[in-house]
Amino acid sequence: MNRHDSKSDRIVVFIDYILLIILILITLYPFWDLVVLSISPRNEALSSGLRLFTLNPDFQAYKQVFESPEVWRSFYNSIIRVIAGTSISVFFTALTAYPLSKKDLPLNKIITGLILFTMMFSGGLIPGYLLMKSLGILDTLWVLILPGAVGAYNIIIMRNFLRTLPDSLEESAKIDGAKDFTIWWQIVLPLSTPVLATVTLWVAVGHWNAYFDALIYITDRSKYVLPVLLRRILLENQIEMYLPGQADTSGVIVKPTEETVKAATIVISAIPIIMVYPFLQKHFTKGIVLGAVKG
Amino acid sequence: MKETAITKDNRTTLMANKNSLFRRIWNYKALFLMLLPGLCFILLFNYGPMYGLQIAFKDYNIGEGIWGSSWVGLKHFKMFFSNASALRVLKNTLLISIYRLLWGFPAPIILALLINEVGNKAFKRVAQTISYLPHFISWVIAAGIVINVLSPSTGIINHFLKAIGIQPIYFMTDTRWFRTILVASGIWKEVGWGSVVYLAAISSIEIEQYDAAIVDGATRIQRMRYITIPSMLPLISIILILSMGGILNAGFDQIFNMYNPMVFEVSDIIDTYVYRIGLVQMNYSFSTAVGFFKSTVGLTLILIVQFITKQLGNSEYGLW
Repeated sequence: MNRHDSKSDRIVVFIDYILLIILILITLYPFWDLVVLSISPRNEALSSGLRLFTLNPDFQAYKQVFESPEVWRSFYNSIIRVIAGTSISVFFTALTAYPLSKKDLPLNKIITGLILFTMMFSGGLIPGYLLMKSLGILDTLWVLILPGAVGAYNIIIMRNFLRTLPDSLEESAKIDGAKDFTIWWQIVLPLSTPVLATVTLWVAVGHWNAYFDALIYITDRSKYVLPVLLRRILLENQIEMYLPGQADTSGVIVKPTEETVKAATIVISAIPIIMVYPFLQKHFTKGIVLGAVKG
Repeated sequence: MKETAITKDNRTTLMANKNSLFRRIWNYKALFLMLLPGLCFILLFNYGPMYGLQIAFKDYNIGEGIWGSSWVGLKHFKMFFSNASALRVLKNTLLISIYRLLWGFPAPIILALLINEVGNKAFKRVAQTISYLPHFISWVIAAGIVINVLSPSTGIINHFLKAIGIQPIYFMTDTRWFRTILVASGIWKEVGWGSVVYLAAISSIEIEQYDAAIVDGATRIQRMRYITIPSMLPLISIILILSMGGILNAGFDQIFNMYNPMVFEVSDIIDTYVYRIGLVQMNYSFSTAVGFFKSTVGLTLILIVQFITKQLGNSEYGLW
């Protein structure tokens, strides 16, 4: 609110704040509700209502989730996927974007057009599946990493960023006798950290959250990644299969409800993202702004 | 061009041109070498599947392979269009897309305008940061969250409904509610993220314009209407074109993780249908034909909308 505001302007600002506060509450409550549910004892979990806190936190559900070897294994597979997938993807995307940032590169327009076309048209699900099958990479880590490694969108973002770098730096390196690859590795890449950080985070979060490729290309249970396991537990109700503690109903101890266990699973899998989130959002925002630059 | 039709002179210039293009490429050989791995990825993984599209016109048989299977023309396309479930799938796809466009497209624009009017910097940042939070979680988790909130026994919404004397609603299995839930939860997840790019556009508006308007006595609503919104129009137009191209993408990730057989009737879209018919029922050729139809319509729509925007003038409003 500033001193120029008339009375009607103040009402507008007031309504604005109210609407935003409502939005904040609607966004946060479902997350908060899950956290509280995940530590609620059985009787509280079964009752409905506004869940703000619980007086008798019960960590049984977390215990059950952490005791499952399947959870640990898929967590491990996910980490490997993120690390390997992200490094391969960022390296080759940056390598591809550099030549395309040179406007005088012969055939540049044709090659860029060829890349852009993939954003508008694709072979689709079954032809993609048949390709992976004939390449013999089904049920391996490669099928999760290679197909999306180099994508049009990230190439364009990097290319647009590289075009804003001054040419003089590379020219002077050339006079000193440096080769193109050396220039890229020693001069261009260090100058590209903002866009590299952005794309790295995009790709890493993409890998962490990806489930569909893993769902269709991976049938071997020992190679599941976390989102696939989550889907089986949360949405396909195969909770007993993966979190076996639940199946045992003969015990004297009151077991957490299925909903509580599901909530604990969600919380655990969302923690890595929420932890790096403040860092993420800064770079994600930068990236989407970079991406909006037309070139 | 036919070789015989080229006169001797033409041929030498053609050769010279070829030579010079070849020479120019040779001069850039290091850069082309750097381009090579990326291009191989794209050719193999993006263009590779396009080779397999031919099975849409064949009866795919695992033993014979893609190339060996026999041609059947438009059989699978005809089958799709003469099929009652196909019509239902098309109708659902379009309806869900249109609802999303109607409600989901303006939402981030409105949010950006709301956030922009906030004077308190700290509150502005908090509102923005929290609004994107759901974007970072996958639809697998988001679906779990939505199901939890809407649960008929323990969900908060039904708790309030009970409090005012309304019977609990089984939202996730109720065909009357399912599409509303899709659209609403889609906005919940993506509105903050969608507003980022609009806020970036707003922040590039020159502050002098607002100062001048304030001197002229413009109210906040007037400044929004005559300065902020017009400045966002090129961007709004680009994003609208992109979403028109995706009109047959009714949001696979979300629906796939939220739907169940009880609501197939209102929620089954082309992509979920292609998945079930193709990968679950292993009906490869039919499923590919349906997917091919979808991608072609999508591509055509992008080109048409882009053409129209170009015709209307200002290239600032187009995609390229």
